[in-house]
Amino acid sequence: MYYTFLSYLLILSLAGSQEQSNDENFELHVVSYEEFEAFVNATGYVTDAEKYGWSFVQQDVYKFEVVEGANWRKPNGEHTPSSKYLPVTQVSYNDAIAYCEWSNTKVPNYEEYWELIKSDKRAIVTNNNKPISTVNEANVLGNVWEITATTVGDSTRLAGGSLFCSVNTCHGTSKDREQFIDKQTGNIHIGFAVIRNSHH
Amino acid sequence: MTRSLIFLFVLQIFSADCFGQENTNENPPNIVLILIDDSGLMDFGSFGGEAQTPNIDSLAKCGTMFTNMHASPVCAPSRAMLLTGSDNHLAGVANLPEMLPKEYQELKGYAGVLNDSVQTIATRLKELNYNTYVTGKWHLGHDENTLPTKKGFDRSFILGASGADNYEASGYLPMKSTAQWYADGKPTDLPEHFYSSESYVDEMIRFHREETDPKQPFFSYIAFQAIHAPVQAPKEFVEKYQAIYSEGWDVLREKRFTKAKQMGIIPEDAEMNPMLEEMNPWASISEKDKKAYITDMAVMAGMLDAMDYHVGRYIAYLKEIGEAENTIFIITSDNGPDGGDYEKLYGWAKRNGFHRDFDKNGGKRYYGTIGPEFASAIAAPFSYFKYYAGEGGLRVPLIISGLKASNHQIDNSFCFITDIAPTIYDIVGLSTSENKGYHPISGKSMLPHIENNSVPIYDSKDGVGLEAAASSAYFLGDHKIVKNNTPLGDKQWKMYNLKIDPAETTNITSQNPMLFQTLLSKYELFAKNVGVQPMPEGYNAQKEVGRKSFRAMLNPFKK
Repeated sequence: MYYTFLSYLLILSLAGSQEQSNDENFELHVVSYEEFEAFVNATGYVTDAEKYGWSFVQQDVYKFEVVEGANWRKPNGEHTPSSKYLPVTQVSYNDAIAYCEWSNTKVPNYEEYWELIKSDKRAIVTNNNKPISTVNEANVLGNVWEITATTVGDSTRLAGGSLFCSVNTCHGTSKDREQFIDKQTGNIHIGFAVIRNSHH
Repeated sequence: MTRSLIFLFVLQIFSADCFGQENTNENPPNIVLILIDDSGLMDFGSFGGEAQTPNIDSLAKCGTMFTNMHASPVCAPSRAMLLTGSDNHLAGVANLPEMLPKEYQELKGYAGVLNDSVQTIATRLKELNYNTYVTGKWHLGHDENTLPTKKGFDRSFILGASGADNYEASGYLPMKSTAQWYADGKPTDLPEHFYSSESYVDEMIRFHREETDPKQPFFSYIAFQAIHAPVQAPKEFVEKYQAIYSEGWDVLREKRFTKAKQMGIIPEDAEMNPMLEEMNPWASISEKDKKAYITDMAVMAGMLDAMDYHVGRYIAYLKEIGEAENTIFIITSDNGPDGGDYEKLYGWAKRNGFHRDFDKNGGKRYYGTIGPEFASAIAAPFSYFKYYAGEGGLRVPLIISGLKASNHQIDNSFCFITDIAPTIYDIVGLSTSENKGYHPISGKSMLPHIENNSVPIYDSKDGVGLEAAASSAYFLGDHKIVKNNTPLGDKQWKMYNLKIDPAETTNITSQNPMLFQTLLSKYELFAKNVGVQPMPEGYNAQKEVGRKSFRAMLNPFKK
């Protein structure tokens, strides 16, 4: 199951990397395991999950476990991601901001996210019957939740949706739904995207 | 039986203190509707609970305590039915949206917010120029179309989410809607020195003080966060309960069972279910963990006590302004005790500013949860708890107080949460049958029964269907069929005679297959009429999501 999950995310990432250039100036780029690793190697950064020694590992839409040793290197506490192109997960808002400072990028705020998603070229499964299509405003299922710069108190507003969501679960996948997580917590289905020039 | 008669006699001695009984006011009565969150049937002092709730008890003495009242097993569907008198599906709150397969998103009734096909009590009372106020947990939508200002309330101070910290604007689960309060339709910060029960009463009193037309009757709805997780209460309310739960849940179950018999809530010869297999025996718990459980329960009792104290302040205010005499009080809960297992969240809670410091007795930022075993115990003698359609998940306390003819204090008649709205309409003289352009009110007015005990609320032909949280039930006469969802239920229909077996210990489906078929057909007709969407065969909300994701994952390969 875990490997299938990884393979799926990999396909999404690859599909995303094969995008063609378009007229938009900016696009969302989901930060991969490889890119995050480069950041850690360069800075010696320690993520929140590493500091605490545990993280949440989502099992399905409701169920999550507390797993010792789960962090970005081993998102489920046991395995290293099977591909370096997978979205990095088990990162918190704090970790995402640290990455942005180092890479001179930024995570979108919640409004920007939903604007940028319109030109997002990541491939996605729309439902059980239809083949993959590009991400659009109404459908970002199958990806990981994405941390945004929109915060309320000690929490970041998550955008999009996760592999564990259906259209109307997790309070996600459409703009009016609300999902927040505190700034120091990650999960196996939470990552982040940064804004970059689409001709990158 | 003798004991319950003595109890009635004792209560009647106090009835001389009751306001409203001698009321000669010709104006329409004020209505105060108080909703407790996650309180089981027997949690108030007057219903046999350990917490001291003298103010609620004094209302109970001057009214009727209904011990056979049923809500839905979860919060938002119950709230929708309470405020509209219509089935939760018709009101748009079929379920919590998290529990649905993807295909159900567009289906009528499943949006999870109160729709425009039903009218709330507040909207109806506006027809009679009532001043309408709400404070507390709303949880029926918090956009511009679904906040209380659009649902008939003149003034509001409400929490949009399912729950929150009781002292500050902070959530209680890792992934959740943020804890946002709204005042008169706009997001608001919390007042200084916020404590949920205290502030909800303060804000209600403020609405009265600021009223520009105080001659009109009022409808006030206070939906307390008490006693939803996290349980939190000021120290002074908690300390007196420190030792009261120290014998553990097995003993507490027995105590509640005995008390239920003494009060006539269940027959003398009724049995109690054994504790569910999944629950740990008290004897197996370490001393350290026992201390934690005992403290959490003390805080829960203290939270009820504090809530009652603030209800007392509200009553005192109404007396002060001379309105208490002409006020009907209705007090109930949205579902049974919460048996959610929050223990694995303690690590997360601590790093987010909560504490589990038992010496502080549950004050600010305490992360208290009672756990499934104690939830089972306070649901005793009934089966299951919140999220399940066993009587432990559905049976909630109900007090209707302040009606002149209210003189039979403990009432075992079956009633349902949709009955509250039509009862209020009946009391103030609004029609309960005509509901032009809106879904019909399915509840019954309880007023004829309250005025004359020999008039039944539901006669032997009137059944009640219920579906929420993927659990279902149908009540007809003394019988109930019920299907409890996994993981604690097995999704199989069972039938019980609630009159002799209220704890649902003996499934009598095979003893009376004809009756079972009758109830099942009635349930199916109900489900069709209100638009219950049948879950796929073998549907399990959790597994369904997993399977769907798995199929989605395979799809790219197929392509």
